Amino acid sequence: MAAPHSNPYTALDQVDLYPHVYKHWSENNAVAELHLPTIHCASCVRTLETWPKWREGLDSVVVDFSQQTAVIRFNPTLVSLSDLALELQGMSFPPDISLAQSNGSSVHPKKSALARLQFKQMAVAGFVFGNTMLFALPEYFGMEAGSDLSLFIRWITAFLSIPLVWISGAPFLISGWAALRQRTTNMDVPISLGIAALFLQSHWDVWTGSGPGYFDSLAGLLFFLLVGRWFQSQTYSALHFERDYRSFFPFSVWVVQNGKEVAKPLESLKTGDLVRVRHGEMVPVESTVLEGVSAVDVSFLTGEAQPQDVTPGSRVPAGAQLVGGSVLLRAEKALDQKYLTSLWSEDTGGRRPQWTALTDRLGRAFTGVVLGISAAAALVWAFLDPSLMVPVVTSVLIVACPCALALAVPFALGNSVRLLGRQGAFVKSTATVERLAAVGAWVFDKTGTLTVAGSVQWSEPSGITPLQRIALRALANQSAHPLSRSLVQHFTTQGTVDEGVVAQFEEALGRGISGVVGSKKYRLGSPVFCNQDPAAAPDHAVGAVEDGVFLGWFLPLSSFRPGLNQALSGLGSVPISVLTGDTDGERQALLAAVPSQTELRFRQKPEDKKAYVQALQERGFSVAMVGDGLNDAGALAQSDVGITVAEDALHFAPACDVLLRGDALPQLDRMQRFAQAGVRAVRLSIFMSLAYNVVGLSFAVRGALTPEVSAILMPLSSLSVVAFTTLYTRRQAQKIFAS
Amino acid sequence: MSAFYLMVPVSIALATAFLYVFLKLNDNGQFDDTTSPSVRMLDDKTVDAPEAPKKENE
Repeated sequence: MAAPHSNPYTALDQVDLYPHVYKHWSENNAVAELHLPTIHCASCVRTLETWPKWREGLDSVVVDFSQQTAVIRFNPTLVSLSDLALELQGMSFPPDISLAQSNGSSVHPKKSALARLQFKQMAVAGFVFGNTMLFALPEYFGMEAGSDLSLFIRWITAFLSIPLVWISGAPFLISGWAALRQRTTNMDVPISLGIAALFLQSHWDVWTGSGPGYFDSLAGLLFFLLVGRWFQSQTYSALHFERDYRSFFPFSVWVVQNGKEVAKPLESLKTGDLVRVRHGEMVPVESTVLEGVSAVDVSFLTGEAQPQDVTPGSRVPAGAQLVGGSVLLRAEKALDQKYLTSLWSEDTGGRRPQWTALTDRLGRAFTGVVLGISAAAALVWAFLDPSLMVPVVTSVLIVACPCALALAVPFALGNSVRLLGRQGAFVKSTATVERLAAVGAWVFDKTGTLTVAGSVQWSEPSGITPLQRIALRALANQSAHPLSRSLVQHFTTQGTVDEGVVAQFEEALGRGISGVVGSKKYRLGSPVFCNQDPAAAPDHAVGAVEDGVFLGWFLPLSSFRPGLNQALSGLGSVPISVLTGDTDGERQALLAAVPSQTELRFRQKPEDKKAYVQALQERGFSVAMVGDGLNDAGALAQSDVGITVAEDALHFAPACDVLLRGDALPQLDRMQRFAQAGVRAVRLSIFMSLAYNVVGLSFAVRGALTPEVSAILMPLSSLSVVAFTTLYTRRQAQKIFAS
Repeated sequence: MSAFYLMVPVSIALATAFLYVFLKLNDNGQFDDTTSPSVRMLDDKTVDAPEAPKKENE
């Protein structure tokens, strides 16, 4: 343990001083976001995210690559943030903690710091590259070697190489060294070895007077590498920008204006707005409860399993899920969309451990193979011609740089994520694209998924009074279940708008809702829930009960999404099932809407749906569950790809991998075909980059590849992978979605 | 050929001066955001920068 005085980050432990760092703080659970400007490659992310495995007290680290931030979840009783910050510094990720970031929009200064550093490194490399090339020319054109002038020029280029390696070579050397110290390898290790070999060999040549060295190729290598890296970070930030602001949360919130609820886009939410949140919905920003007694589930934020009660005056954090009756909230903070996005994408812990991406395994093996080949080449050349040993090893190390390999996944699948987003499917991660491509069985929920929640028409029980309408509308308005939402719409179109006050609201998932309005207790729900004989109930009816007296049935005429049959048929001859908690009254309508081989199951409770998915998985299928996330959360979490269909409000199912816009559901078959195209692009580009490496290596080990040529070949292979994946995925998207 | 002994250091000095100016501007944030200023100038309703000229007559 370091002495507290020697730790420059001690102040970080004072939570109130750094409100922008701490996202959450409680006795034994804290979440902090640190800006780590030196994050620059995929292996940095791996290094940081695997840190909790061996650091006690650390629960999880989730890195945001393009923003260079890490969200750290830890137990403050076991470890302090200042200790973690000090250790991060030791791992060559010094956290950037400036109070300037505390006032809100912190994204800009963070990003620009890295951009400035990259510009500086590129400028120095470009400067040295140009000058060294110029001064190397006379020697190439046969100026008398060993003359005073050539020696003078050699010394100048040798001198120039010092700031070059010091400034422009630093990012590679530092990260490569940090990886070696942790006894892992990353792609900077072979690059660092190449730089060190070139630098030392050249200086040896100049100091002993035996030759001009390879300073021009060293400068060129660093310049191209830095340009490639800059291009990559530009692409990542472009990707991130789209993910963040354009497409990720296509939701609206119910803002109360002049006593009326208006659906407004999430991003237009302002501090002080009044927001109505219902059972199952997410609180979009940190807010204060104004009306309503309910509970919030914060397990998703802090890991605390028990829902917490909220009453008027309580503060609720952004991302909490409401369980219970609806509440009226006042927004206390502006919307932090990045934070909401991170909640969703962070929920990766422990799920589907069996899935290791092909490229991960390949990348790990790669460094070992490269080092093996260079060692073998060095040995062979030590006997053949020791003077060529260093150049050969250098060119092997350079030509085998795994850059192209490392670029394949982010570019091919990242681009797929982006293009899927444009079609209305918001995919959690690039790994999800791989899983979506591999899905072999589909399970659909009916209500709100295959049917359009908003357009359901209802017939009312006879003899219902306006007062009862008001009460039932108020009760239904507490719930986010598609049937409830639809009933509320129905009542609204009938002219019933007044908001009644509901007490003792309860929702029995998949069965019904109950609550007290005025002095009477009302129930809305399935026949069993209303104490009626299910066999005698009409098709797919919702019963209404007032103080134990059965009022009658509300009968829906549900409409299925257009194009459904075609889309499900397009998924191919794979098992397709429709599970529904409803009665089989709508069997005929359902049969007409889906392909004939579809399996239909009725009266399915949430746990039945989960068991059904599990059973399919045990038969060896990779299962996708498509639901609305309300009464099928268990099945969504169980499935290999959980797809939540989101219609209007903030139905936020943390267990899902894909958020699908309701009207995009009929495109599902095309989306899967596109995901498969994305995976194909990865395979092809891995093959391409391996081909480059094999060709390059075969020249390099024979000593036929000069460092200059390899310094050009390497960025070329990276660029061709980028160009290929981008063009291929775009072309496929046009082909698949246009038809 | 002896002119090289003078010309090479002079050319390096000149190039270094340009490099220095670039790095200085870079540190001052000249290249941080190359997108929004180009858009901002098209919108004559917003007066964003503190040193923006006073509007004489609207």
